[in-house]
Amino acid sequence: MDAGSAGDGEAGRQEGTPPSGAPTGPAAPFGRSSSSSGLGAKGGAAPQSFDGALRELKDLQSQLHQAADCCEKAFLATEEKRLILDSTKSYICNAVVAVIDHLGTVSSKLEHQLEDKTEIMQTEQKISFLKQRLLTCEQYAISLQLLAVRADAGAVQYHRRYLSQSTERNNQENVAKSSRDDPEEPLKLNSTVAPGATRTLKPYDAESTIGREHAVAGADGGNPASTARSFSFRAEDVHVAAGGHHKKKKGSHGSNIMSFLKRSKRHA
Amino acid sequence: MARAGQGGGMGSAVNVGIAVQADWENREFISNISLNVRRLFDFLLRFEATTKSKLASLNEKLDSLERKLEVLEVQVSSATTNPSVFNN
Repeated sequence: MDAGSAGDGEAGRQEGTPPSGAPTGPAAPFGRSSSSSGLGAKGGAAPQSFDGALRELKDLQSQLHQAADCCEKAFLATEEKRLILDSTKSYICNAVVAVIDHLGTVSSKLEHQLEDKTEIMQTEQKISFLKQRLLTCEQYAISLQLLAVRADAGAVQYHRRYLSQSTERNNQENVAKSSRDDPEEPLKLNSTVAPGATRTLKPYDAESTIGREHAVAGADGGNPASTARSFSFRAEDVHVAAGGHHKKKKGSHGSNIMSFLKRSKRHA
Repeated sequence: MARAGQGGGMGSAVNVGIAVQADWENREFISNISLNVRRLFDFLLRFEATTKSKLASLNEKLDSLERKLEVLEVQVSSATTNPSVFNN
């Protein structure tokens, strides 16, 4: 069985020079097709894959075994042993060169496949991008929570040791007063004031509560605390009311004088 | 007879010399082939070592990527299961 016939299945492998003068001598079943195809693949359109090169290298093993058997049979059968020996030598040289060529092709393709792993870098970049986005979202959520905590005034509590005695006394008085006062109106007045804080009423507060003070005045029962607290706008109220009454009185007094003068003129 | 014997001795000596030369050539060829095969074997050993190291580094990178992806999945799932964190 000829090694050349064994390698008929693989196209492009019959490029080896058969030994001259050896009718049954082995023809080199391999040329430098792998390296030439590999070199052509680097610049060609259809690059040969690593799997293809490895398959060729594996096929080379069986071909070498068959060629060795053929050489042995030919050496034992023929009379011209010198010729067979020379052809076998040349075949071995070509075989070694072809094996090295195939190994170089396989190693270079594996090297390229290992080096050209850009997907890993892209995946790392995508993961870092996602982590950055997640971190930004967490920071945004934390800032929102901080804003909510700052806006919640009821959540602010001071420790007892950091409060002065006067402030505590005021707090206790406020609590006692709120328990004693009318259940509707004082709650409205004190509901917006934080416990322990002193509230200074502003003019628009006084204007908005003037009408209420008159209504509450009867039910207040002369509470000194409440009168002291509402003294400013009560005085304004009285002042405004007194001013209006004084104007009315002044106007009526002036009209009486004029009517008296008219009467005296008529009588005269 | 003596000439023939001398001629036969010279011829046998020449034949022996040719055989010895051929034997040395064969030995040289075998030593060259064995040397090349040893070099090939060394190359294969080095190639195996470098390929193993590169594959190990690649495996390490892929493991780290898998861990990062798992961490990201857990973080995203915790954020989706607790949407109040993002709806404040």
